[in-house]
Amino acid sequence: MNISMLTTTQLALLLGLATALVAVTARRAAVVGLAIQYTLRLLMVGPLLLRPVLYGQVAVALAALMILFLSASSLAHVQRQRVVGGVSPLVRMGGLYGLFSMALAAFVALGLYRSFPLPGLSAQVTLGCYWLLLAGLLLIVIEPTVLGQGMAAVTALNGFQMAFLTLDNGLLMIALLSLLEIGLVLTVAVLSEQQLEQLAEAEEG
Amino acid sequence: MPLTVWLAVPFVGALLLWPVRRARQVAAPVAALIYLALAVTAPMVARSAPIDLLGRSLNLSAAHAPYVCFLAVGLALLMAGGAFVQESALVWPGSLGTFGFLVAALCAGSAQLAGAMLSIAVIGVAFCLLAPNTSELTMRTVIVLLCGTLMLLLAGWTVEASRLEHPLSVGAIGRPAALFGMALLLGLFPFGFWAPPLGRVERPTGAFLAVCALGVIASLRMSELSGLAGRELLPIVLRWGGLLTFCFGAVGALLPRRLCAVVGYAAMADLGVAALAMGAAPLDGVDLAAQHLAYRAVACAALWVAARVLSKCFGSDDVHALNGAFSRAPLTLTAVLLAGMSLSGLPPMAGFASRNAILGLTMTNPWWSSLWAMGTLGPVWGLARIVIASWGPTPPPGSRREPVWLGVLLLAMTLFLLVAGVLPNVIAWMQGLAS
Repeated sequence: MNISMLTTTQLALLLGLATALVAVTARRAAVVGLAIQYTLRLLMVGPLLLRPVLYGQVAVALAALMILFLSASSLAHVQRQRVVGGVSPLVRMGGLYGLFSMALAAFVALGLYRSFPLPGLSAQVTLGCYWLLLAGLLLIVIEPTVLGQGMAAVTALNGFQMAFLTLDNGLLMIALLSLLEIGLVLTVAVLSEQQLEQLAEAEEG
Repeated sequence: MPLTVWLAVPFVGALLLWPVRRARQVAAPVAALIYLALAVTAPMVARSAPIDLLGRSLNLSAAHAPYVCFLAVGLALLMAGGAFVQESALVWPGSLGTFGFLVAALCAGSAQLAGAMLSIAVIGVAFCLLAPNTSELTMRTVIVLLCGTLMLLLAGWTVEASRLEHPLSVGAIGRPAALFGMALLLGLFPFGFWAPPLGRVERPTGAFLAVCALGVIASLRMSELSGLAGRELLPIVLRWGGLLTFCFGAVGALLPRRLCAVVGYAAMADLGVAALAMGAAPLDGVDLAAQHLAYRAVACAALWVAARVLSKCFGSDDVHALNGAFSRAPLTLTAVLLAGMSLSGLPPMAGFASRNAILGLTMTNPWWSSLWAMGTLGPVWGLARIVIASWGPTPPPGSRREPVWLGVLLLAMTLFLLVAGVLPNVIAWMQGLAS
């Protein structure tokens, strides 16, 4: 399948779903949103890559999603225990607020991709890049939890890579950006676990 | 020594230290020795042939070799200090891996490759910053620094693309990416909000890598991106950004009572001085700024290790906890005095010599000199009151003596700053040795 088969409306709907899932939950369902983002990115960049490199990219994406899913499961487990134990869960600003931010990012991205097209990139890649970057950066600002911020950062990185790998798909750059992606996801997982430990210690103390 | 072997040493060292990372008394000295070996061999490597990595060249120039030495020596001190004070077990392998990527970024033939290497180094910084109650701060720092390094990566791509097929991308993408990336990575006001809190974290190695090492490497890559950022716009941004950073750091250094926090703000004020140099002259200014940032890195390493030593011996590095501490930690507090003088820009230290050279390059109006002097007062007050408090008659009850070996190391490091202040051509001499 090629990304050019999608109309702009279909692409915008897919991007909207992918970012809305991250914006609304920032938990396990958000991993589904990230999976849609990875699929879109691979569909856009895939035709430019050699087959083994593409398989490598798929493997990196699956590993990243797995790590984030495990972290999100751990967080959900702790949240459930806190609710059962009568302790207030980690405070979020609410899914509606996240959705509002996502809609703002989408509105700006839809305006920007026509007014300021990125040189050397197709309209679809430009739209995807602006959308994911803006949504990711906005969500980083409003997310209070480390896991939520990390998922937003992965969203922004997906937007960056969508454009950058279309422009430069040399093997060394792909390898380094994949290493960065896995490193970021691992950092998010470790810091999220640490935040949960902090909370547990604070409650015991 | 071939460059390939030298560049592989930090990564091999990190792998070797991984199994023994929890044995602090083993891992810390081994890591310090690896850094010392890297510092000693850097001038020799500068004479070796460039290498090719999947079509991209890597080369350590003689002009950059001394800065690698400075950073490696600073990290060696931090590792040695880590044998006495508590550091995370991830610091030994994590800092070596991070240093490997930082050096690779310095050696990279293109700014694009340097941006990618710096981005991975930021992840390493995160693992060095891991400590109780720092998860939010670490995540924020990683995100801000990643934004900066990815902007540099993009700016580097536009430099290459402008020579090949996309000349239009320079203005549209390259200019904002280069300006924004540099401002974020260097920590210029108002983008430097991430830097001062790192001073307070109980992880001096992570703070050193983020605040000092990344800044030195970014400033050394500055010259190739300066053309991209605009010949008129860049000096203005750097001049005003530098001035505001200088003032913000100087005022900030007046307020905290803890040594490590004062160092965070004093380092920020010193960065403002370096940014002023970069904005004043495209070539000489960047060299002077890199030199100033290298001296700042040495002073910060000494002060952060000293702060941790004082915390361990006296329970805190707060000015009230250190009343009368000099009798129990004379070497450490002398090192604090000397390194603090250098960081604040007082004679006859290295920080004063490089500030003086920058003042000559940048200032044309007399009122600038007055502002310059007033900006020095903040860090001087912040650091001096800690040293003066330590001269009290009675040592704090329940305190312990400083470790003499670490005190001697700290003093040796700060005496180097004194020598570099008296003989300001040390870096030029090292560059001559490497070429």
